[in-house]
Amino acid sequence: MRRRNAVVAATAAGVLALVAAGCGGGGNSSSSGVQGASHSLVQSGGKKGGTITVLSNGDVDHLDPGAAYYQFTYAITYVTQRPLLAYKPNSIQPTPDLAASMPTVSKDGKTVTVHIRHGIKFSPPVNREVTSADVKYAIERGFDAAVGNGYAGAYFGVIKGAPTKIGNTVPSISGIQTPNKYTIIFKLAKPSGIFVSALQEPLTAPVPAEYARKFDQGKSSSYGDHQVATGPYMVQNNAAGKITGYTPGRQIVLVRNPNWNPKTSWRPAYADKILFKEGFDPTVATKQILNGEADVNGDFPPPAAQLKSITSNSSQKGQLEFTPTPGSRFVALNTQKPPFNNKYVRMAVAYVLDRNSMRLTRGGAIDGDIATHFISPDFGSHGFNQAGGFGFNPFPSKNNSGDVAKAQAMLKKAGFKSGKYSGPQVTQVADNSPPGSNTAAVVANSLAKIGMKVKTISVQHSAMYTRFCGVPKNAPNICPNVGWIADFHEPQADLDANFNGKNILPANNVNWSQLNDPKINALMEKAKVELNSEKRWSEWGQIDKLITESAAAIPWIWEKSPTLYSTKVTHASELWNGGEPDVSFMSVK
Amino acid sequence: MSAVREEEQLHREGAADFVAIEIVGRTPWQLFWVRFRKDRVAFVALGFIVLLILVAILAGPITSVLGHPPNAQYPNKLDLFGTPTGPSSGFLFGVDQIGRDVFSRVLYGAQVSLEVALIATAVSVSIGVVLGMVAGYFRGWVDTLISRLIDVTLAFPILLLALGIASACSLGNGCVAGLVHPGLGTVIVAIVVINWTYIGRIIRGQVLSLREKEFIEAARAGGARSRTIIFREILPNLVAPIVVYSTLIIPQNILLEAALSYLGVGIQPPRASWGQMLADATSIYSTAWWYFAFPGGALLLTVLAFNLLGDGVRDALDPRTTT
Repeated sequence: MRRRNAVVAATAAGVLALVAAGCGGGGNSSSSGVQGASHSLVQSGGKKGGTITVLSNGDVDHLDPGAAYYQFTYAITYVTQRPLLAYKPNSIQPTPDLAASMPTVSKDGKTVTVHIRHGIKFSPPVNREVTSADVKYAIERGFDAAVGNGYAGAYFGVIKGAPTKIGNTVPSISGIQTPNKYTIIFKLAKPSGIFVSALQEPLTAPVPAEYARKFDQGKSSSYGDHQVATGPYMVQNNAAGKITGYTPGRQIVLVRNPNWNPKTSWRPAYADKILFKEGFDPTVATKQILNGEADVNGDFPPPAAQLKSITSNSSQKGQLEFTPTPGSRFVALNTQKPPFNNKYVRMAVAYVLDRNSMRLTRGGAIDGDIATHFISPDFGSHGFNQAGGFGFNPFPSKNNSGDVAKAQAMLKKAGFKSGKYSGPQVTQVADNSPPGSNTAAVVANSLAKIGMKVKTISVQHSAMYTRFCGVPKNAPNICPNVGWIADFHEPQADLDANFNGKNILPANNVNWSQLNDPKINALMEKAKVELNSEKRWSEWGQIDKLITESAAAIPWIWEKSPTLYSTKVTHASELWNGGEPDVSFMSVK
Repeated sequence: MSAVREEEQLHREGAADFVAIEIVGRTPWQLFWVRFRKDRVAFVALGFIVLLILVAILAGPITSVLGHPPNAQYPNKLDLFGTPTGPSSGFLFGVDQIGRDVFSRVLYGAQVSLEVALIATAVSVSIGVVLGMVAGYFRGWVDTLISRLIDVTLAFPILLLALGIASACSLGNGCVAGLVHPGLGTVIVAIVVINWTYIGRIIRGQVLSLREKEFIEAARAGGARSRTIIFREILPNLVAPIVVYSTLIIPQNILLEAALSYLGVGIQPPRASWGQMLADATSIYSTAWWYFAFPGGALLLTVLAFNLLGDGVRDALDPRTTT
């Protein structure tokens, strides 16, 4: 689960998901009345030179490509590092980047072979050609606690010989083999439908062991402050390799990587310099982009009031682009204790929730489509269609504003003869700031319609996860402000962590409903090892339906994230990365 | 008419004048009322407060006549972007960020403000008066203990202390073994813990001088017990400072409640409180002026009214001091 845009994360969804898919067409989405410019195609024929300025509210999580796990950081990682695979703007289909061609998978699904390009060199001071051993070291160091990678176990734990736990040294993994300088072979313990997709994670970007090893010693790796690049840009550094272009919380300066050969890369890399300026108030930053002092927003969405004025201003409207995000926000009901251990009570909640009002708390239709199940529209044929697309809605209501009569019918089935809930009051733990706090207020109001009194405990968004919703022993009945973004467009990345009973953890749990349905668990394990992508997506589509019908969690929005460009630059938003700008495709006009 | 007789005449007229002025016996409270009535500002403030109390008591009936309960949502009153709409004929004060009627919520907010104002003030004054009298009357180690406790409490930044107490009691089932529940109870406890000290210190000072007066010595000589002296002899002489001080800390308490609710540790949603409404309004102030203007105006007027009333009461009880 990759972290979502800071401002968004601070308020609502949280974490994100994983999985991979290697394929796919691009299901762009759909609908919604109010819109800015639709997701545009990248303009070609940009002009070389100039500086692009990106504004952000917060900082990157880690500069180290082995530790980075945050949408905004990925906007920097992918233009400075070359993982085996990467995405072009507007595509959810990975493309070979460091790899020379798409990986080949053996028939039994247990051997994945990748050939890497010749002639790719590390930036100064390393300056030598990249070999397959550098990729092996990069992945191995992900299992060292000093690096602190967040997904190595989830995606690469399936490799033979991979540690089952993160340890205190860089392990040697027998299942990663490098028969020659340009070939890397992964031997898997069992087939994995998402392994190829996971090769687009920055963890596969090469790291030179002879140079990095000394920085990886000790409790916390300092390779991030000495990193070398393989992409078109690098974080500014000095002759010894020490990073000079990063002032935490202030700015990050990217300059051209002198050792990058444009012939080996599909990135046009028009601009000479990229400036990431941090610590901006979203309102101020939005104004600066509108008046041309900066070029694009990094980690925050422009505030709702400004979105409203921009979309209703015909000359500014075209500067705004909305990108669907691969995930959904939902209300998680605790299935392990009363009253929501009763399926019919949960279904009553699913019927009565006023999802229209909930969406209005985040800006209305401009913020996305009302979600009726979990796999989001941008997955398209990778699971969204298989789950019934926009047509699957087991708990319909007029205008999506809730159906009290149907909810009462469910309560009667649950044993409340009057159709009104008469059990003890339920508790929800919610954000203490808007928009999450407003969403929670709508939830409480909706439940009041069926007689369910809700006590709201308001805490900071992060505490909501770390102290309450993510700790089963402290979990309230309702977590109204949770959400998930998949790391890539494979439904496993969207559903497994959130709803597989095997993934319930005593802390940092993300199966917030604590759903542990043997039938669903078994279907998931089966779908994970399915190598035929069509079959796999269709199985996950069925799983999505089952989870939605169980009402363990009630999805309510498939979000779109707004990216605002100045009039001086061309647009390039990453469809795979929730609308982060791809600065290697943007050019100064 | 001789000059002498004229003088007599004058004397007689003077006497008649003197007789014409009736000597009326007035209790201190009558004197207070006479003076207070002349203070027009304070009188208007009192009128406003009476009106506010009526509104708070009748909030239920009023909103049900309007048909807009405080927690009902009217999504139609939000535009396509979820932005609330302003005052209109059905919604006098507009709607808030999730489409609730601001007018109804301001009325219900008055309930919270007044409840806190009256309960927290009454409790903190009671505690402060008792401890202040005990400290001032007994002196010695009792005085040292209570006075140092007051000093220590006053050494804390008020808002931070209140915030700490309220945060500790705002999660889960509250604090002090579940006796203090999040919400109104927490706010009152936080206010009382801080506010008893001010009145405690003032009362202690008054008692220190009162206890040396002859009538106290007489009572003591007559064999009266300490408790009798404190409550029967000293307390009645403290009524004026108690009344004055109470009216002056009411507005402080209302503001403290608003501040705590603003910071999210006071009144818990969905109950309406002015402070919480102001907090919600900060994120949309540029598009929804009515959402901070009406609760903010209500808070301003209420605090102002209590302050003016307090000033008036003080002037009327103690005309020697002027402001």
